[in-house]
Amino acid sequence: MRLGLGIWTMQAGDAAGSHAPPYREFLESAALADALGFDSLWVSEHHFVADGYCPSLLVALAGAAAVTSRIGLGTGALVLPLHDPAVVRAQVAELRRLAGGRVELGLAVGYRREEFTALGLEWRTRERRFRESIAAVRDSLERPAWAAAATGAGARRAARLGCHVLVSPAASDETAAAIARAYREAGGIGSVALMRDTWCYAEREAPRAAEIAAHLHRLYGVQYASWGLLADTAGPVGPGDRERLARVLERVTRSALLGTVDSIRSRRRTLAAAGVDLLILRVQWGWLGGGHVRGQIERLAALLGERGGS
Amino acid sequence: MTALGFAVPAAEALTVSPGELRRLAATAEGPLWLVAADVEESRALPLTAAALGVAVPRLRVGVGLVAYDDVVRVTEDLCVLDNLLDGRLDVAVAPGRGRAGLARVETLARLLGGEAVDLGPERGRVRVYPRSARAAPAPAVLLSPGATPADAGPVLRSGLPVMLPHRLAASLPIAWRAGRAAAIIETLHSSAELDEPVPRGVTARVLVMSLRVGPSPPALGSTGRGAYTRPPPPKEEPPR
Repeated sequence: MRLGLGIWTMQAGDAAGSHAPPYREFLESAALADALGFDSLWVSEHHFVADGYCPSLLVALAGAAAVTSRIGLGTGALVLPLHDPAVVRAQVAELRRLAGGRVELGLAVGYRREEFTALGLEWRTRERRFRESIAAVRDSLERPAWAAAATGAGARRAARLGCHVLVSPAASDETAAAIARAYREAGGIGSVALMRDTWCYAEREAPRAAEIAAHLHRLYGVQYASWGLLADTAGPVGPGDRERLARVLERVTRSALLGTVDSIRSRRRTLAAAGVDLLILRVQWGWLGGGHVRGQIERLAALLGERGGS
Repeated sequence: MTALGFAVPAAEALTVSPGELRRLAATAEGPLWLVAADVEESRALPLTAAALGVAVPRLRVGVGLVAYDDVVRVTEDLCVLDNLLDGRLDVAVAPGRGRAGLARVETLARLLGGEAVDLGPERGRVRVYPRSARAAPAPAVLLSPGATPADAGPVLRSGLPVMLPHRLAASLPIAWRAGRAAAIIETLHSSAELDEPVPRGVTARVLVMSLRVGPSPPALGSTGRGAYTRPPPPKEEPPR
């Protein structure tokens, strides 16, 4: 199993100060991950967020291309219906030129309505525009794109479109395994990537794990639930189904990778057995303070070079 | 003293290898402008500028864009680019003919400045993040070589900085140029043209270079046919 890093994910950093420091840290993290031998780094997209969350992934990755030479540069994921496909095509072609073909294009349908509104785009037609835009950007790629999925239906769509599948961190381990099965049953022949929010701690830091888990639980409850991202193996879970929602939230929180290197190693084997080919460790949590990402990347490098299969 | 920068046509910046572009940029003293000739080049340019600006740490990078795509998305690209470059970004935008193009540049200027801008009843008020890393990131309006004094009038009245061709700058009344932080763009066909005086009121000079004058990009300061020499100091000081 390959190991990637999600280093622009749950930012939630300083909203009032300069936004330049997290972008500087992003470049430093990319260079470090490249030097240590991670397979790929992935960045995710949000708009109009006061903490400076990155809305332009391809521009950010072009900066990362300048400080790296080997690591794959991935969007995890670019919300395709928010963009003009002609712009995406031109920018992907330029990123490919700058990065020497290291580009992994992960694409998503989008789930935050306010982003569509502020960009003057229709919300209800985003699925159709996603399918049409994939066809339009496909010829700028040299390898299949990744289609994001949080449910079995998303996995089947990825298979139909000839894409790899990129499983959302909002999917619990049980749901992720079901998504991987659905992808294969639908004829998907690409790779299955799974994104996981990760905090790798030393034994002495273990008492803090409960606090981190509680924070994640609240965050997932506020964000994933309100955005309609949560699902179990039976399908999406709406906010009205309170008991089922509580169970799913519990499972999703438990599925985050909070543990020592040894426990994450063990979880990695389990996920490989469930059909995951690429594990993307999302380590950027702004609320854990500056320097956190670097420490996580160095600690997680202990997993490199190991076989992740069972 | 008139500040001096260099410009490279985007068509060339987008085709030479990043290593060659870095080598060229390392010899520049002022901002290195990458200027798009059309919409297609304009779309890819923030990426080229990101790679170049990150690879050459102290280089000021200018992007000359074409106003066409959604102004919020363009601002987002520029704000991310500016943060990657820690504020070393200059922006110029060619508005095309007509009032609508200039209005887009004015909206871009407000969004880049961190303002929440009302984009109408459907989109509402929009503020772009990340904030630009620059304190005063007003983009310049870029007038093309074919622009006339009639095109320049509304641009100069807008209060935005302006970049305009040398010949047009020389033809305008000095009262229009003075105090506008105007820059001129000079496309050079030979080093002799560098001796032309800088019009009064112009505070910056941007020389357009071609990378396609020989088998490899020209080194600034080299001599000979097709290469570019460092220009002499301007013969006139801008009014104070």
